[in-house]
Amino acid sequence: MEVSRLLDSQQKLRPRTKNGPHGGALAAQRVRALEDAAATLAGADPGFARQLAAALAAPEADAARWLRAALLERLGDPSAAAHELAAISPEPEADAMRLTALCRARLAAGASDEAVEVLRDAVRAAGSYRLQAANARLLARLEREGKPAARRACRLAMVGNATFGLLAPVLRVTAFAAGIDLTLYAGSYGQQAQEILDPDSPLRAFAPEVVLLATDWRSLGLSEETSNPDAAVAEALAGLRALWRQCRERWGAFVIQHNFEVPETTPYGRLSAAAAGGRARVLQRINLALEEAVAEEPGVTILSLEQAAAAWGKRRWSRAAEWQIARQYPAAGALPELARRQVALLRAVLGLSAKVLVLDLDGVLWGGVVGEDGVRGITLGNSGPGEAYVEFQRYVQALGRRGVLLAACSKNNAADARAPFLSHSECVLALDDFAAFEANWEPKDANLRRVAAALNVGLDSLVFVDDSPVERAWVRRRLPEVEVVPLPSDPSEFVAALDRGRHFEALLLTEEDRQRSQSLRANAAREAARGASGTLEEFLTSLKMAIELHPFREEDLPRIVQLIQKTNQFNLTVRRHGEAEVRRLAEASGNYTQTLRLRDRFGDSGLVGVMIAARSDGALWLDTWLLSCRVLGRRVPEAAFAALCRYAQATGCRMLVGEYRPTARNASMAGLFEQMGFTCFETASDGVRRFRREVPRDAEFPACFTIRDHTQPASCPVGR
Amino acid sequence: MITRIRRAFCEVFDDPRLEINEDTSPRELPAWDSFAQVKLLLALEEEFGVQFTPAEAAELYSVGDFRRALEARHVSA
Repeated sequence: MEVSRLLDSQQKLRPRTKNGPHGGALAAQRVRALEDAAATLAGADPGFARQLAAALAAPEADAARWLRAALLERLGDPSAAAHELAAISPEPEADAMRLTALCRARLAAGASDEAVEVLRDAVRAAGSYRLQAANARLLARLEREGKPAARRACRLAMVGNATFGLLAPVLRVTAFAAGIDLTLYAGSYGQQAQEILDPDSPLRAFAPEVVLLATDWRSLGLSEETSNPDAAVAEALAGLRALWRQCRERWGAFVIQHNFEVPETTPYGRLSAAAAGGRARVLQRINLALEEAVAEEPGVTILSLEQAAAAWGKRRWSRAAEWQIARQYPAAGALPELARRQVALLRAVLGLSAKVLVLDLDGVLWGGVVGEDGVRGITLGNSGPGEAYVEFQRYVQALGRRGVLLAACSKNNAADARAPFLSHSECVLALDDFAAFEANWEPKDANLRRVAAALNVGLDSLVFVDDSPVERAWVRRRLPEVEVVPLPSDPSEFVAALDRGRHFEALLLTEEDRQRSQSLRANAAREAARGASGTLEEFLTSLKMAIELHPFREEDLPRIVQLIQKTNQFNLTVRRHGEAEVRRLAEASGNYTQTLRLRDRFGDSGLVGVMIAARSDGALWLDTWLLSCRVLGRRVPEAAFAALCRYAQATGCRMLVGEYRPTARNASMAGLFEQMGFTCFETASDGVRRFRREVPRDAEFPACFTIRDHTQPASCPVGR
Repeated sequence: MITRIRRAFCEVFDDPRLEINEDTSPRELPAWDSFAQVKLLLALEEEFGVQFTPAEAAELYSVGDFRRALEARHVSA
């Protein structure tokens, strides 16, 4: 009989340990119980018994655990099932299914918190639509028992000329894994213009924060060859722009616009791109025109469907059967991938993108172990197996150049870990590419905490790359907020594995981003200088800091909005105004706006401070006050505040009112107003505290700065 | 084969206790709309490792239809 033969063979294969991980030797009694079960099964349904025997073939222990878990679940014992599933060693291909099954069992056993935890991993691992849809159903069930905690809630409307019935749950569960609790509005097929333009449409009542405009190439109605391509491009753009404007003006909503896939099949062949009016060419021109248009409209960003379709494979990206039956585009199979891209961009819109890439060294930036093999012995170089590591270092360095902070985190002697950067001729990265460098023998979670503290970011801003599955598992367990990249064993796949996560998606590339790495190096030099100077005052003076203050100017708006969207720590009110709202506040009569730029002898930190104070009843209310964490500890808040006081004094205002809205990240600001001489006069039920103080006469800027203050009324003297 | 078909139906209609027979069709299952149809196609395609054509996809509107289409592909239970 199949089953008993299988058991026999396992008996021979398995060493007879008593307390092995899988129970070791089988006692005679258990063998007999299994024999009986097998006999019953084979007698009742031989075909089925044969199937079962086949399913139990290698790897034996895990297959038996799956079977046991499945039996227990169906017999109504989900917690025992969960126990079995959790014990199965993860195999990459099957792990997504295992995680989903584990989540289901934990949920049925009433362990909601553990179910939430494993669901996040399941969503990240899921590749197929079927599995992601199953995860979405689990999320819906979890939410019935109480909403899982999220970093941010968001109201998102999807409109366009596709149906969203299949996308909506997949998008929600993908957002959930990224810490975003989405409330969705799914538009009707092809109704995007009506829904946005009609003042009585249900979209108005929904009041979206973000509108996803999922239009596709069919909606443009282009023929294979267009007689007037310039007009076609202009018309397509004008139509979409009108919709964007409505979304922004009516709801202050951010717009994510899909660009257009260039369809794979065309009777024109290469002429479709070569002929002036060919469809492929016109679509590519429209896509380019979209990018150019959003460069001037900060509240809009583009999701490249063309890129997504190409990466997925255009032959699989859309499917005639699904389009004809349900107007489903792209094919359901591609929806998990599309949703990942949408959520990556949504994270950027909400200011939740990761900021720091933390890298293990041995086995990640080079092959081998530098502490044992020596600098000459490691695998790194432009030919042979070392090339993969060079490629990965180049990718990482380019990330650094566009503003992502790099940190090293290695279990190593400090000198060994640094050696390749100093003396290996083919090492692409240099020590000063790293904003933080932790090489020691402490557990990695402690080092990651240190990196986050040193760079003034939250743990949820870190992305961690390590080749050791043990270290990865450790960090996932100890610091669930940190994003851990599932790194494949082949180094030539590192770049793709890191890229796929789209962790560092950003809406625009500002000069500040490019300078950030520069500025961080300068920060390190400043820290060194702090050691050299005596008192803090002497140190600050030695920095030769210069501050330039301006009211809001058109050219600064993108950076202002970026800071408002993403500053978490020195942010007293955390009001995430969009661009339209910022403009309105800046233009309102009597309001005070301030941008702050800081330079010192080590470099230019750029635009690092934003203040908005609204005038009401003879008082100035601090609507928004934030500073980039890069300049903390340097008296910058006092300088910003002094300028506000001078303005208040000069314009006959007598009272200043401030507000502190506590969040998970701005706790260090709780006492700031008191330090500035305010007193608290109100504490609201949601923890918001309001402060006031009279406007001081003759407010002085701290002596360590050279000040150029352009925020004062014209008649007043400007600074020092 | 009916067990595996039923699994797909239970998943798509999110009802682990759903009972189906040869004649189950959108008439008995009001939730069987065009979305559910796409979901059923996908689930069954994955389950049995086959691909349905657009023409079939538009015509397969009962459990029996699905079973016959699968058998025509020589899918074994």
